[in-house]
Amino acid sequence: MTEHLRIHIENDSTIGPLFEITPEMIARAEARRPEVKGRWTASYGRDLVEFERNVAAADGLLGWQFRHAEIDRLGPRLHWIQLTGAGLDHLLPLKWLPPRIALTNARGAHKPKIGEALFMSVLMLNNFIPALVHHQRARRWNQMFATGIAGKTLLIVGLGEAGGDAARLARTFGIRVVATARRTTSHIAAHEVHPPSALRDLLPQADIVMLTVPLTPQTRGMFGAREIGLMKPGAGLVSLARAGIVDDVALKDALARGHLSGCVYDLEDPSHRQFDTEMWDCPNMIYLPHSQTNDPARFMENVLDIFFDNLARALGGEPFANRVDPNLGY
Amino acid sequence: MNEKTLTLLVENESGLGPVFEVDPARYREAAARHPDVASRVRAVFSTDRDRFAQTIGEADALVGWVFPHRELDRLAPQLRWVHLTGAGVNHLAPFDWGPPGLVVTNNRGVHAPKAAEFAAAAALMIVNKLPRLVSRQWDRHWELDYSETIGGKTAGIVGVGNMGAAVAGACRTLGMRVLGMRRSGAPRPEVDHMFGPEELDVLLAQSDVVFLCTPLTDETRSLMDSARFARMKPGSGIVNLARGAVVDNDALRAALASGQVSGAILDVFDPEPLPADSPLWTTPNLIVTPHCSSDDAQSYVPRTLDLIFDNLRRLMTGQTLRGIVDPRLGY
Repeated sequence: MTEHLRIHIENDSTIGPLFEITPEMIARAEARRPEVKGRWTASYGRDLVEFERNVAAADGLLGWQFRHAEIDRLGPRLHWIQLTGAGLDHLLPLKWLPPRIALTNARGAHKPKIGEALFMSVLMLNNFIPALVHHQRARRWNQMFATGIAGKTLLIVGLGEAGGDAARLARTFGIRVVATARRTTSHIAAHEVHPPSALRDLLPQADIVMLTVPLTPQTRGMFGAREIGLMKPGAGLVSLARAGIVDDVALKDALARGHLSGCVYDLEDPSHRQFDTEMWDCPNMIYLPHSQTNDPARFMENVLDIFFDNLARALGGEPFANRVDPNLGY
Repeated sequence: MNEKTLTLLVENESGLGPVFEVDPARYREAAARHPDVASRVRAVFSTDRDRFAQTIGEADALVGWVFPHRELDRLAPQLRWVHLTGAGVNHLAPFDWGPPGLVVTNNRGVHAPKAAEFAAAAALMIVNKLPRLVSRQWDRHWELDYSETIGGKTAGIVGVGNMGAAVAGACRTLGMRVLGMRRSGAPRPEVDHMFGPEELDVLLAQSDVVFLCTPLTDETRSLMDSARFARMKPGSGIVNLARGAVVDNDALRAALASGQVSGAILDVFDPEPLPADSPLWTTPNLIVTPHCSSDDAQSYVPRTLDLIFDNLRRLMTGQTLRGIVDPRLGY
């Protein structure tokens, strides 16, 4: 048991107002966990102004960007950092993380919106929407009749909170869900869960492949020409992967050749990543601008629920939820 | 059962493509599922009317989509039943043709499972602003564009027949509230609240996604005009699975341009194929699918044939057929 915790909340105006944590939002979320009331105090900062002074006195930190390389020195009392997002590749490698600090992320906070966006992408692929839109642009009336999705196979590469949320909907529509995962061997919504090493055996079985792996040194470049080539001819790909996981050139080639029938691709700001402008016109490709996976009305509420759950755990001396494995990087 | 063998003329239209072909191989597979009926049917297959004239005079039943319907009273005195292999049968209206006592049925219900899947995709696409995202992709423009969870949003189904009910069911599965409108106003289990035609504006004002699933009749032609688009909830979207002429597309384009309607997915057009010079191809926030949303490439004809065999059984035993087109209503 800990009597009292001081938590510093660091906002970052560069990631947009939707991600701003205000005292009012904290009060609303705290009302859902009344047992922590009076047992913690918050300080607020933004864009790292006066960060040193704020973090020096803090037991915990809630934020996204926080001079992680110096955090061991700047936050001598810190034993917990709660991130406001799920994909933490901007903090890798985690060599800066001292063993006394538990790092937790916000995986799960995107539900149920993320599952809906991924499942939408699956349905779009089965119904050839990326290809039909490509024909539309060329003013071509080219009927493409699909077969129903029930009984088809969806392979989720990197089954976690996002993929699991999509799998829940996929099962409802009679889809066979096969997955790879590093940390789990079964999932309530998946018919089969295999280790990551099984990927190449599983790819030829899938009608649709969904990439929901985090970007880590192990996953960088993991989906290249060889993996795409192993996919079933005419299969579709939905990618939520960060830049660097999929080989864009190999993907474009597979779409142009018709080896893949379509792709729905979550694209982070192309001015902030390596992105060949020709990729804009890639045939049979639809981009989502990395916003369809968040419900703005619910995302930060969900993040704060995760934060308060972990705050209660910290006060009660229980292990944290959503803890990041420093060796795996997620 | 009446022991007489029935002559069934199957008239295929090659222009519709293989998805819709009731060919001898698919017929044999279906016949094996209905051996009691099949043993008493003589089927004759004609394509683009190559065996139509020589067979129609002795036919008891006709399966097809395009045929000289206005000559049937003269050519086919024995004909008791015509089955149309599609659902929207406006191309044959008014239904004042054929020999006396002729029963006409359509394919209502055959499209349901595939239409439900497409509707789920379309509902998610409208809520997720996909028509706008696609337009931005064409402009090489990247912009965050947040949208809300679909659970709790409202779908409005205009025309709740077999297809509309399937669409309603899919929207329910996604957690949407479902409003419906049908001629009778009578409730259906897939729909949370059903309206009659006079309450269409109430449905439009409450719906985040409007699905058009009506037949094309005199009453539904240009049903969605500029006044109706103005009644829609600002920022909502529309999906047309009915017939192209149900929508005044100039009014739709204006509603999309003003932002009153955030996005549209159109599967049907007037005429079809959509001419290359149509402005619809390049209208921002509008996705064109070329009338292929609801026809399952594998199961469309097998499901059609199962309906045909069931109706043949009913014909032989004097029962009421399924899917009868009401000549007064035109569907």
